[in-house]
Amino acid sequence: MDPAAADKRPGDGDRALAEALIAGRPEAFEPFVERFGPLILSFGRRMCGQRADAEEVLQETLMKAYLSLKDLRDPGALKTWVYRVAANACLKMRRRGKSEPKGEISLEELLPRAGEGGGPPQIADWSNVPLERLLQGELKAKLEEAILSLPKDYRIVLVLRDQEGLGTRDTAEILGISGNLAKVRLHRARLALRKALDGYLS
Amino acid sequence: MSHAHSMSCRDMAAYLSDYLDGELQAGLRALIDEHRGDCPPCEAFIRTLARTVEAVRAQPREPLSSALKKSLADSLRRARRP
Repeated sequence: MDPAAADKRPGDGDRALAEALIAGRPEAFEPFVERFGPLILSFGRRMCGQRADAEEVLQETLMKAYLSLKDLRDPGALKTWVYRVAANACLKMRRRGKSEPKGEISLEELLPRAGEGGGPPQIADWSNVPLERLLQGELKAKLEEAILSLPKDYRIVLVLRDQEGLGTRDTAEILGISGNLAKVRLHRARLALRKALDGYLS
Repeated sequence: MSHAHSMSCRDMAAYLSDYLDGELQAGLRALIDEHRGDCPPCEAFIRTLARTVEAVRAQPREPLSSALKKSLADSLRRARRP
């Protein structure tokens, strides 16, 4: 490995931050909020759907993560530590005024059915819809609604992997599940969203 | 999807996220590459799934105001043990 790269591994900044927090240095609080505030607020909003709930998740997460830091064995793992606290806060919170979708997502329902007479299915290719169109107006609302309609166990994997940008191993560790289960849930969640957009765009 | 391929459409479906994430072993990847070239429904399915993932990834983050940041840092400071 390139020695310069070895000096600056991802997590080194987090390690220093965790050590400063554990040492009780008051100047570490602003960088802690700066580093994780925007991440956990977005995570909470994506999981709960409401800004007010997301702010509650954020406050609870930063406080609990900070107060329990003495139990963190590897200070370089601060990020997964904070997400684990946030995931627990989200999983126990009920969405405001909404019933939580439950259950499992069946693969069979997400794959195309055979066409007439058992021939190949007709699948519309709307992949050329501009990304900007998918990120505003009705389509944006449709996508957000589809994400919030996923059962929580699936939604949380999708949010951690595709929105928070965490890898399979970190996601599995945060949720206390196997890497394989994290992959299965991510795949089904993505297929469910594809189907929701397909119903709208094709 | 019913035509004969070295990998069936249905068998392939289980691997598509790993395929899109570049986490599939080379042999399986080559089978999917070959299959999608010959199977327009699968090609459309893979392309629209990829577009879906791109849209999910591109959703913007929630803005966090300086006032809220300050209030969070203040709460932590108050909770600090002597």
